[in-house]
Amino acid sequence: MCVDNYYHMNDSEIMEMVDQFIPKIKKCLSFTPYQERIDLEQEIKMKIIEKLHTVEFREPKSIWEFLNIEI
Amino acid sequence: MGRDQNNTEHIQTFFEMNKVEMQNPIIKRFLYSQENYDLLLRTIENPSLENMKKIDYQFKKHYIKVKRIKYVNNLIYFYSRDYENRRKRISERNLLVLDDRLSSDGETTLIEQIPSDREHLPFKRNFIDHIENPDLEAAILNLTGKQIHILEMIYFKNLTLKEISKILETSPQNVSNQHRKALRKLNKLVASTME
Repeated sequence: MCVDNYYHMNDSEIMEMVDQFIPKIKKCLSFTPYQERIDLEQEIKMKIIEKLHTVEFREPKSIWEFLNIEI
Repeated sequence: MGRDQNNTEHIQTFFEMNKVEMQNPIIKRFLYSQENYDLLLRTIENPSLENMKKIDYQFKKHYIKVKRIKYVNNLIYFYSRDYENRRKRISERNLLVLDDRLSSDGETTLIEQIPSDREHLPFKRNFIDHIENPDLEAAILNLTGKQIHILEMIYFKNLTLKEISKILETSPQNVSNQHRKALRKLNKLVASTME
């Protein structure tokens, strides 16, 4: 089974993720005045894309660390 | 039949044993998906290495997805906060003279204190000419002359109810009533055109 699969997102997955977060981004734009918002929106998107490429998440826990099963 | 019985018991004891764990949000959310839930049942019935690996793989995928969402969520929040703080700091450092804050309250800027030498909106006399929405304009023309006059004084000339009542030689309460009546009528008219 390919472990890499869940560690790395391909470009379309990343873009999908960015799209999903657009409402959240719009909400956070309200911290900043109007004339800055377009710039900030673009920067946030770039940052997300960059981070999703580079950040390494810790090895996820196994489900058997949460659940007990008798075999 | 006997085997099915055995399996249901198996599943029951499993859920009994993991009662607390099932309330864990990450497990709960994972089992929301019918596919994952079926996979879990299959694994309980037949805890083969392959099944266990399969469900573990799906779970890890789910787990890292949640982590990722949380990460991006925080990233957006903190980045935009940071951006705003940075921008503020820089713009405060390189302040123009007129943008300087007055020492008295620390809020108002110098430029706000300079009165404009033009009348407000001098290019259009009539207040109805300023209404951009055609539905609203049509609705306003349906009001009585007095109501239009009151709306104009409230929203266009920014007068207070007291000032208006003096001009119209009536009580502020009356002005307020007329104002509310006018708004209600506008609301109705605009809503009916939208339908």
